[in-house]
Amino acid sequence: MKALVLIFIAAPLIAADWPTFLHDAQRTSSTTETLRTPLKLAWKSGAPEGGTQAWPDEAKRDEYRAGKALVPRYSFDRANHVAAVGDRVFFGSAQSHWMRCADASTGAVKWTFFSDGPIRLAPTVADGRVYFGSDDGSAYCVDAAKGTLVWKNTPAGEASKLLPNDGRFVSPWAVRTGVIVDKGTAYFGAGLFPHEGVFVCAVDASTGKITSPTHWQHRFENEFTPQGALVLAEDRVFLPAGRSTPWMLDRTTGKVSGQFNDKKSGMGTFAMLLGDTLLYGPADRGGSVLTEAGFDFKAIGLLSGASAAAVSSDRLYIVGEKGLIGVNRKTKGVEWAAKIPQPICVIVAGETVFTGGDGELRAFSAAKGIELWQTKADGRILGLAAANGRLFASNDRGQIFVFAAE
Amino acid sequence: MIRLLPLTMFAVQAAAMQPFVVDRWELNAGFIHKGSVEGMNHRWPAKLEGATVFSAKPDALSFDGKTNAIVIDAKDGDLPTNEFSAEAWVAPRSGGAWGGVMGCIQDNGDFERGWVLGYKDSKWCFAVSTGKKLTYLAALDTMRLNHWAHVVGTYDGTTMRLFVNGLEVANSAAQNGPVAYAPAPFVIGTYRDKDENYPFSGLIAQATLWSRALPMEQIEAQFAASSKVMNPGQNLLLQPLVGPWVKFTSHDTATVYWESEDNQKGAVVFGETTAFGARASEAEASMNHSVELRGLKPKTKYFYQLRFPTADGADVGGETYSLETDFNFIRPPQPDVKPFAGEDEKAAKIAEWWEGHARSAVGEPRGYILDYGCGDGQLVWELAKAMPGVSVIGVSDDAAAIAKARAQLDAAGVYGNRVTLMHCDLKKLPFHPDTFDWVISSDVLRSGKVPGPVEEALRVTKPRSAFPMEPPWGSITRPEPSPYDELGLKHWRKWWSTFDDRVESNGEEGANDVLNILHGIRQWEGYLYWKIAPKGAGAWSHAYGDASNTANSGDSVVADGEVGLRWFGEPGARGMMDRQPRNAPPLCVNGTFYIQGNNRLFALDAYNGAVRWSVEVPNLRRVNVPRDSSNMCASTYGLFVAVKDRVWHFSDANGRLSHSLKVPAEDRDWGWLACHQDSARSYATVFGSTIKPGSTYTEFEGGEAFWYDTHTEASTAKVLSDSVFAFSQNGNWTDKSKGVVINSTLCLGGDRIYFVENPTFPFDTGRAEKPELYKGAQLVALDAKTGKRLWHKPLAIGGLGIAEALYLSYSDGKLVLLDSANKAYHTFAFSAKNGNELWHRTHPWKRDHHGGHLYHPVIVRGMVIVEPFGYDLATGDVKLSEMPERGGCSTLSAAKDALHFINWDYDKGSLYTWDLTSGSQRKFSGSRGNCFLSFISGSGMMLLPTASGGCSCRYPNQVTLGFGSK
Repeated sequence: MKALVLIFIAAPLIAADWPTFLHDAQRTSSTTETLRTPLKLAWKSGAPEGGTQAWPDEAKRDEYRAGKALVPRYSFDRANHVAAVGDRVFFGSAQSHWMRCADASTGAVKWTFFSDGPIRLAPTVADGRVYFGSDDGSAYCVDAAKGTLVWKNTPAGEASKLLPNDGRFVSPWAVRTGVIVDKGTAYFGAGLFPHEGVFVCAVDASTGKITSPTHWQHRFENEFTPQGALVLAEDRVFLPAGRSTPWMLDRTTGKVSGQFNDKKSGMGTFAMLLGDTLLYGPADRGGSVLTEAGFDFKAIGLLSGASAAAVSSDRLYIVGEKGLIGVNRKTKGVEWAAKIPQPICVIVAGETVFTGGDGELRAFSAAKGIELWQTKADGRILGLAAANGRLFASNDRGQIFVFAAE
Repeated sequence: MIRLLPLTMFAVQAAAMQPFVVDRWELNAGFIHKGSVEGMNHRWPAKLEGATVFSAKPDALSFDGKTNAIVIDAKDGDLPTNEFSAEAWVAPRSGGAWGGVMGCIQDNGDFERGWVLGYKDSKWCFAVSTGKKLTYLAALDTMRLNHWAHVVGTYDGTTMRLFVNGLEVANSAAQNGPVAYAPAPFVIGTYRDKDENYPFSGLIAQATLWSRALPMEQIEAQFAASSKVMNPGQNLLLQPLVGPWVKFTSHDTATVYWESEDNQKGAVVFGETTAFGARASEAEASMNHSVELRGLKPKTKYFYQLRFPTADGADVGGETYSLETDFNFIRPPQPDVKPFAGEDEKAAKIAEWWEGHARSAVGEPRGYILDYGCGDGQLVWELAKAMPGVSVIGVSDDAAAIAKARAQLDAAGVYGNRVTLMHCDLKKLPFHPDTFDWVISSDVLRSGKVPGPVEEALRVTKPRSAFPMEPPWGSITRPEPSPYDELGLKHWRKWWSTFDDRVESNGEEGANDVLNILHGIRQWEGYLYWKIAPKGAGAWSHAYGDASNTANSGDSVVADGEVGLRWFGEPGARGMMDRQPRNAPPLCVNGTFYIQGNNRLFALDAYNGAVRWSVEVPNLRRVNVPRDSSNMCASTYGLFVAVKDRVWHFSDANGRLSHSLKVPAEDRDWGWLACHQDSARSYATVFGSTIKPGSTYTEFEGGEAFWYDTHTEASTAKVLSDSVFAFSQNGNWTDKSKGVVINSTLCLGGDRIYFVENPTFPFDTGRAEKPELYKGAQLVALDAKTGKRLWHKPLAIGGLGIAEALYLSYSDGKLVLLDSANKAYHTFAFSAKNGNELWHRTHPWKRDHHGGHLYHPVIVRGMVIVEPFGYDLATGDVKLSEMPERGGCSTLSAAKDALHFINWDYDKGSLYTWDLTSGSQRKFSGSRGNCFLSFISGSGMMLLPTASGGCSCRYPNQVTLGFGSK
């Protein structure tokens, strides 16, 4: 153990950004950033928020399944997730409807941009701009330095009225996919209810408009609900679909290729690209599960009891009912397991794996699964990010806790 | 290990074990440890399945009716054969078709062996086989639930006898010779053979197996010796006269209400476990109790118990109930902060005035307020601060003012928490029509000028709400005509109120509501415009639309399917029952959408989805409605719900229990429930029927057995009544049946009540499914005002076999009887005038599962729809022969000229509307309903609660939805 710590101390620290939800467009939850544990709390944002949950809770059980406890399928709607670039951190608020930029080392607010509805997913920061979606029915692009509006795209246009929703006002064309940016194109979906029609868009990231043949905006009726952070492959867009299973679209044309609907598919808003397969979930009829499927929609693997994952080049880190396990990607064998109270989220930062759980944060060595650090936390930790020497933890009360090396 | 024996009434007996006792099991903590059960004679090892829960005074083991049973490892040949007795002290919590207390049995028709002591059709029974078919002895009376009973079965080689509380209640000489056993388990607390398992629900204190047939004298003596301790005459569940019911009265407070027969100081113990730990009491004695449980945590289940005073000045607990704060939708109050540099006293005073007036009108104010021209946002903040149940949004066309106000509120940490501001074009507000409970205007209050078109503010005000046109504190001369008359407002009524609360009305729709609202206003002088429901709005007041069971709301607003989503949200799946067990359908009357969850009620504003109130009601649950009747109906004033022996009435505006009515019979519960209003302003006459306590279906947890979709008696047995009655301002009446009334057929039509009765079938079990129930059945008409029998006609349904479902509906002077039996729907039409048959048709079920055999008829546009056919109501001619292909397990509902339905779709879950005028259909993918009737219309809205609870299918949204006309 001591030897291992010495090795870590001796290793050079690598600083890297965390520019979007789960780090990148493939949602790998993985960064080259290295963080030296132990960490201590540097600052935290705001008072606990209340009443910000987007959807009512699942039923306790499915009596069809002889009363097995049901697992929540939404992984985005109870925490304010962050993006961190350079010395700044960016996060939205489901309660206060703003996007905020703060000094990552102190929490001092640099700017605040208000939308007209809850902001539920982490922004994407690219090329000096901050991209995000709001429940008001619009995708936004603001200047990362000043917080001024660059463009706003409301796919439903004037039809996008605001509806009462548990004490809030929300557009039925709320943008709950986040906005992911790659190669100058911004991708997002708008709409919650298939019967009202939903939109999926690929627009010029600098203008918010359709300016090239590879840009598109499609309306789909009675098909799906785009909810959950979009995942990009070279030529495909993967669309988590609320309580359902993900859909796949052609990235160039926006045409629907199909839905991942193998009978044993995991359902919900978790989706992650593993090269040429998609890992998605986190629930099926009998509890937690992540399904791995090829682009032909056929399931090739089931991770029963798993609810989230992070992936590095050689290993898959899975959290769920059994705690945390490290799986060799080549052999598919479990290399190590850490039996800890059920963790909720996981990221890998260099050689360290971080997990968030109910009232706690932990760190493990990525190679051996040896626990390196743990600390108590307020609430349930639903989101993690690591960037530029800091660990960001988002809880189910809308608060963000920022840790740095002691 | 040394274990201390509890002091029980059996201790003496145990110390000196009587002869012929094979073994005796005292089911208390002294003899059950880590699932191992010891007999007094240590004869065999025994294991308790399921959780170990004891009750005290007397000590007993609680069997949950699902998982508990004691399996005794008796070897072949160990059990007595030539003669024996099975004896037990038991207190059943519920009855049913089958249940076992003790036995070793195999009963599968062609192979019947062993013996069992238990119950059959809720009557104590004892069965023995000597190699022949089992002979079942049964008591004549049904078991007394929640009372201790001493039950003994004896067999002496020639005669079987059954004793209850020391009295012989049945005997038989049908068996002869030694008992023939099968290789079946010897069990306590269930009826179990290799095919079936019917667990016992209740308490068992002691079970004894004897190697002789006890003589009557010994049984009498043993009963007498123990009965002083067991007290069989006492109901184990101390009950209040009415209640309890629980309302959440602040973000961390629940108030428990109940009524008692005499003045008492009410007290409640509560906590997160059944050990409670906290106590709350009333200061003064009364008969109407309300005790606040404070400091409750969010999203937490609490247990609570009413405490009943005893003669020695102490108190004793009654039944243990539970509540869940997940369903408290009241947000915490705003923090005590001052977001604005210079406080506007006027804004605070106005907010205080609004809060007071709203509270006096509706109780705890809930919903949405729009500040149309919100100025600096101070009034928005003050209103939200004054009313924790209300969300306030301010709109202005002044972008700078909005930005400044947002920043101020956000700096104080309160922006977004029920307080939002928006810069928008006041001529085109980004809201649908009929959204806000109140629309006010800071700009009007300050300058007297409406900041945009009044029509736009009126457009977004919802029906049953008012738009005040003048400042509430001003004293102005009444102008005639009103300056707003020129707007030619549709669907609005104008009122003038003065300081002395005198209201002049034009007597039109909405009068009661306005009077209620203005009753609380003490400083009002001015015009107040009241928005009435959209023209053509219908109502869904009873389970099947109306008291005539047409399954039609009569709503023409939403008929064409040209509707859009108006709101969505709570209640979600968590507070509901599973989607399978054929739950009580929701209702919508006069702008209130009533939803029954799992032992809880929700009242939502039909136009904006705001949860106006919710109550937790133990013992409310009723399932398998197709074989019974719903326990809810609504009038324009509120909701009636049947709970045990009473019907309760909750006010629609605030959920206050205004009154309750007890069934006009002893030892009966309230079964069927209906109400009738002569007009929207008249009080309702309430109709009911009397059922045997415990005869309704209430179970839904445990899988397929509780889907009520199978063809066995456990699903299809009909709940029966033995009288029909009415409570009316013009006098009450009761019609006592000589036999039984089938609840699922009770309906109102014109001034009459109709039902199917069997005048010779015994009422004894309260629920039955036998061919005899239908043989000799007759159709009956009563005068609804007097209860006088007008006519009865024999029904020729006896030959159709057992009805899987039997429904009766009334429309246009005709009665429609739908008998779903023998794999077919048999539809009969009768003259409501005299009961003469007009026509009948038969067509086969399309499927015998997923509710395909349980469709309720829909009467729409002069047709009787029984899928897949639509028959002419007058002639029976086929008017429709093609219906949309429908999967899933739901039944149809209708609006005035449209059908609403759900097509099962694992991936998408889809609602549909079918405009019968144009023939067009519209699909609404994304959500699904439950396995009976949950998709309804009323008040100009199309409504779907989160009825699909527990469904882990792949459809994308699971939320309560309200659709309004485009």
